[in-house]
Amino acid sequence: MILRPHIARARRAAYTLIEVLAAGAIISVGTTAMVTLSATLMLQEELSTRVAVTRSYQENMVRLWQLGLSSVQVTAVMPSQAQNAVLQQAIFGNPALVESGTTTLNGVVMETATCTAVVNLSQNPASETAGASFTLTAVRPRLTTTLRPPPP
Amino acid sequence: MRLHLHHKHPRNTGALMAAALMLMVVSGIFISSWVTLMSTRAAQVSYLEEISRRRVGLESSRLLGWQCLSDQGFLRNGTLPAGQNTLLGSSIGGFNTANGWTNLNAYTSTSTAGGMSTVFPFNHTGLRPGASYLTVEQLVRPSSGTAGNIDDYNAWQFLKTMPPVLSGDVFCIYRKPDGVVTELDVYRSTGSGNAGHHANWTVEGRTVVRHPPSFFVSSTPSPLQLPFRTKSLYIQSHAAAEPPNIPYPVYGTDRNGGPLMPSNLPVVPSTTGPIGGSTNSMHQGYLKVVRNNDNPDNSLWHFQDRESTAGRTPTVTIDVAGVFNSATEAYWIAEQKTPTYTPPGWPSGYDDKLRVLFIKLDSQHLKNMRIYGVVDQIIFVGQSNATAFSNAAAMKPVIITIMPSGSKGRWVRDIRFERENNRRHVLAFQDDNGRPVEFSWVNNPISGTEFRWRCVLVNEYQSVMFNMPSTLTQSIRWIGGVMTNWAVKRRAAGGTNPSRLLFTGDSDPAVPAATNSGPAFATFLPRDAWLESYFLPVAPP
Repeated sequence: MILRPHIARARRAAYTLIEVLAAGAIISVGTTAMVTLSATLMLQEELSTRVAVTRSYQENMVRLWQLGLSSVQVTAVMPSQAQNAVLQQAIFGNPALVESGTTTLNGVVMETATCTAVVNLSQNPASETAGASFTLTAVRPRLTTTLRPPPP
Repeated sequence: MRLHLHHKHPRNTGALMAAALMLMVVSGIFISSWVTLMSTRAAQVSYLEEISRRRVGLESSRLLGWQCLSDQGFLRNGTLPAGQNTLLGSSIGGFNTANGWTNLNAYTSTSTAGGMSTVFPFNHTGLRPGASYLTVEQLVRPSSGTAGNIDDYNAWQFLKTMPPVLSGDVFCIYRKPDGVVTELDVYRSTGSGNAGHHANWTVEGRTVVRHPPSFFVSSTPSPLQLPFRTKSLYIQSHAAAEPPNIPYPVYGTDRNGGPLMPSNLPVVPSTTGPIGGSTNSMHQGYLKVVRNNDNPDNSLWHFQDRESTAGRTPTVTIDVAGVFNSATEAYWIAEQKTPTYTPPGWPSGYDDKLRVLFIKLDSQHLKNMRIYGVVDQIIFVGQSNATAFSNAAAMKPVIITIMPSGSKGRWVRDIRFERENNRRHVLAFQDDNGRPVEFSWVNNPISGTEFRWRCVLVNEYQSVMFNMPSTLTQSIRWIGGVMTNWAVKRRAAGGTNPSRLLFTGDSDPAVPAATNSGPAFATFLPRDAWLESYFLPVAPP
């Protein structure tokens, strides 16, 4: 008579194996989803950073060229990829600034250039994998170039 | 006891459940925030390429407009129709001419910033010191459907002009003529006595160098120090990245004789206008303002025509050297077998008599003059007393051009300045062979020991030699400034004291500050022109 209430309480306080397994399964699925999501988001964040770095580098190359520097001078002024781990990791190959001659519009002569940069997708620092390629087209005045004296 | 235990156990279970739920809620919020943040970051990065393209496109549009106005804004009777698009490509850049312009002649503008109804936020003075005449044009973005993803903008183009000698650029050295292999000499010391020459003088204002390579030949020292003393030195260099390899290094000498570094600020290209050939050549620093059929709006020869057509001042042409005298003219021509003032080298290279043209500068009959090399010597007769000197400042300015007789023909070799002059005038030489012309001062100053000579000297390819007065205590003050593209030197016979030859601006307090009668003096002088571009975003509607 005295034990019954205890037994009844003990039975109510415990979980069945099925309940525990179900709960465990749910937690596992949730945890797995969370880990997967985290991994995906971290990868996405890493790629976002690489895209941002690559595009910023590319735009700065173009703006320097528009300021009047030659493609060789632009390459010399920009941070070296070989000496910068972040750039090395973010950019696939070397961004190419190609001066493509002149274009004449309604009598206005402009110099043109294109700058193409590719994002590096590789997660292995030892190798590079080409990702998204993007090309910027820019012009600058012809006059500024013609006014520069050639070296003696 | 039973009741107590019975009630205590469910309460614990509930609290645990609540805690677990709270933890789940917090975790959920955290994970949601993180996911949202990462999504936002991803969205931001996905727009980066578009943003880069838009920024570069906007800059391309600005540069395209700048080049267009630099090329076409300074042409005579320039016309661009309203609403015309010039497009590099959708989302790459372009401009629309807005209201356009018809028969634009920037060099004839007499508008000043003070006359503008709205100047904010534009700079009154702009890129150069002093006032300037300006013409304002506008470029805008083409319609968004045409321009693509380019921000809306207003590109205000201020086409500015001003005679440099009135803006403090007292000694302006332009690019040497094409095809000349020798250097533009304003720095060498050569020989001695009447045959030698050097460059010791003082510029009480800015010295402006438009084209440093014109100074350099293989024997030119590098870096080159311009030996004449000057208040400041301004070099119009467009080198992209000069240090450490400056291609044509030039520095000056300050008024104490020490080295003077040039002002090394970025400069905007300037031009005296089209000179024939491609439009690019007009920004290369050439001086072609004595007679420039490609730009009559900035040509002294055509200024003379303008004054004549307007009925203000006729033009006299001296192309025959016969003896002449008239009561209604300010000049007379004499033939002297024994010259009053013996020119250098006389009589070698001359006929048996010297043909001398006298010009009385304070005469009311003085007109604009075109003088050819039919005379050997010109004597400019200045004022004879202080009152006449003072009154001369109020007289109407004139333009006197001096050229050879035909291509590489006889030229005027000797110029004498008698006493002092306070009448504003432009003395312009144009030669096609760089031959020398000697400047000398005769008689005595009105008072004191200084010859004050008010005149703007324009020199195209003539070697101008300043001869000092024979009395060592006398000095020369050239008031008005110099624009030259060829040698200006001082004869070695007058010593090397730089304070004996001063170049100052027209506002020099050494002469009375009276305003001349007739049109403003600035309209008699060649102008430099330059573009100031103000590129402003337009607020979204």
